[in-house]
Amino acid sequence: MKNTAHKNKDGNIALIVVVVVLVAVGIGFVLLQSKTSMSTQVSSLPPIEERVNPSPQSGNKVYVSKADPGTKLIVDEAELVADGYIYVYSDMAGKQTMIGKSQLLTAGVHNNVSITLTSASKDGDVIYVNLVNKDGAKVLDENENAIEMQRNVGIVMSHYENEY
Amino acid sequence: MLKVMKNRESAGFALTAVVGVIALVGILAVSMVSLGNFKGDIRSQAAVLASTATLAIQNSSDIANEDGTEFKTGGSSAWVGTGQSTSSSYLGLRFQGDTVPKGAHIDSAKIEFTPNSTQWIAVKTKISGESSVAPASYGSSSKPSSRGLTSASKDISENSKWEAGKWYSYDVTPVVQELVNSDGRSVIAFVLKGSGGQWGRKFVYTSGANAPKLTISYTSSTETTATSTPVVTASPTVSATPTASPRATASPTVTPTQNPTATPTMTMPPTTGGSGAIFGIVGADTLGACSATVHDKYVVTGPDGKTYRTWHPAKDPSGCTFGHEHGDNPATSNIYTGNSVPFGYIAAQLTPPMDEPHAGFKCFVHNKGTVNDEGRTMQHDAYYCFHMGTGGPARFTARFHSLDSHLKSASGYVMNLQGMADVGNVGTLCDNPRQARTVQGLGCKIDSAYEIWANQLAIRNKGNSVANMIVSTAVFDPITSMDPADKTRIVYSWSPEAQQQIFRFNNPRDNFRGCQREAYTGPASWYNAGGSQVYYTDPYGNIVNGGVLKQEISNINTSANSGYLLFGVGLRMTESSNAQTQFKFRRSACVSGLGIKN
Repeated sequence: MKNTAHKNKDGNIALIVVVVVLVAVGIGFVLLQSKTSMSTQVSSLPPIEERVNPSPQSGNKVYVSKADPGTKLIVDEAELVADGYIYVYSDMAGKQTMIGKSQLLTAGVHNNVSITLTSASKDGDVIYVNLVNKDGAKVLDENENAIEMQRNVGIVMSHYENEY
Repeated sequence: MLKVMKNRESAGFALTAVVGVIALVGILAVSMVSLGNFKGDIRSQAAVLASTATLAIQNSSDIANEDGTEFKTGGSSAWVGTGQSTSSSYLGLRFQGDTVPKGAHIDSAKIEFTPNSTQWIAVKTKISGESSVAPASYGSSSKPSSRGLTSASKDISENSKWEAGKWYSYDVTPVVQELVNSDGRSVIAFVLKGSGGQWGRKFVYTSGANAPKLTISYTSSTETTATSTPVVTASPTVSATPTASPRATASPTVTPTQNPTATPTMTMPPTTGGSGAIFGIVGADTLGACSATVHDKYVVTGPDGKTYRTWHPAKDPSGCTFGHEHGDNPATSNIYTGNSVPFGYIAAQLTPPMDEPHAGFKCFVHNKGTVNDEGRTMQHDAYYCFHMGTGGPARFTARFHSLDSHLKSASGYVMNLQGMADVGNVGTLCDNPRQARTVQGLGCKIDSAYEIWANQLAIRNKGNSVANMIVSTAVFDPITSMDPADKTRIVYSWSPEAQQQIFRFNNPRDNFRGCQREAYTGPASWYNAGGSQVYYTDPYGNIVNGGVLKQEISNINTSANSGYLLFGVGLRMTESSNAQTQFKFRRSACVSGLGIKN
């Protein structure tokens, strides 16, 4: 009887050991799988209302939010220190060619300036929008760079989607 | 006493059982929590499709006989079996047509012939596959006997009557299986070596409707993706192309659409992920020997909280090799801060989002002190990831490519920019004027396959320049070449037309994988004195409130980098005794196993 009890006790101990081993193996498996998932995180963006930028120090500004294919371009905002124009250039084989010109703008801020283009822009074209002074020279910023915005006309980029 | 003992036994067993159940439940619970982000395999969602692919002989140079020193292509007939030479009789067959996806299970594959007359003679031949993923047509300098062969082969020994006008087939199932195990195929070539007695051969038609054909029945699995992208199709076959150049269409198992004008649907399409969506489709033809599960490990959470793919080694620690590589590891940069580069994040901010093909993301690390092959030493730390793969023609028409760039000058000034860089117009070396991107193209004979892009990312605040970064990236072994007459056409650099119309020297180029690269860091310019050190821009680098991309630019002008200026105005990238505003460095990213979509 004592032997039987002893054997039963040994059996219980063996079972417990087996269970503990299984638990250890299971935890080890889980930890291993966690390590193989290599996801990290880059810095997140702040909320949109906090993404505020300073205005440029130059008194000359030009901004175009988008360029649609066609013969018309809307310049959202232009600010000139002196009277001048907005010129639109197309990028024809790398050589900029003027395809549009605003009416003479007085010094100050102008919004939603509509410019008719002499040749229609099409999806995929690249255009450059510059401020130009009255005698036709490009307006420069304090670093002697042209006040210029570049825009990709339309949504051509979508055709590149996953095509290799 | 015995009863007490039995009760104690029972209690012991019950306790053990309870402990076991608790342990199992605990393991399950921990698994569910820890594996929450595990991008598991979704094979349970796969559908199995049975398909038939038909490939045919399309050109006279796609069928050739060798008999000892004699060689012939085309003609109205060819023969299978043994000619005069019992040791050097060959028939080469190059089939083109439907694509069989990589990993497909081949149920049956057979080469079919139509004899040009009724014949009855014993034929013995050994059929092997050509192992190249893009077998070339045959010529006197590229005979069937010179081709690399598969391990698998099929021995044919038959003595049957072939009647004119009827079709007869040889089974090549194991050969085709080996070929598609390594890569998806739309061009499959075989070498049939005669192994019988002298003149034991049969003559067959070579062209038109009676030309030999290859018929393959296979089954493959497709995986479901986002509901907005159709994936499971009833017959995922691709129309046979009439051109000589292999047309590498995207795998029908994962491509959302083959029509580039379809409504953009790239709103976080999941690919092979399990529980979460990973932006960036990865086709089976780019995975190489690794599974999608392995590839899905390499992800990062982007600034928008979504999951993007990121850099990974060409060879995974598990031992498998991917079919593509991403160049230098950004983590090896001196200025790496632990933030993995989210591939595709920048283009995903476009409206509509754009999914730049994953394999095209290439990274470059130029650490301070690195000496290049010209003996020039990099003076600053820089690393960048730029999208520029050469596996397809889309790059010839895409004007903007994503650039994630980091620069820290020796003076401690930073310029961390991300945006769609302007890569300029494309042209060949023969164009006048030269374009910002110079690639190899049909009609312009050159000595080397060198392709170089000048890529510019300018940060502007309502037209006023704030920073400007130019990185030029180049490749010595571009996979595809340009057809100026049709920039959307795939022309492989080893194709006969490329050999004839581009290269002055017809060297083998079927090993081109777009992995021999060099890059130029710079010029880089700051125009930000008195400005902010952080700006938010649209994807093109235009500063706008609410902008989706964050730019980090030290509030200096370039001239603040005293001691590292060239002519007092430009950031000198190399030592003053050998001064340049660019630092060039060449490094190979080639490994065995890269595919043609690298």
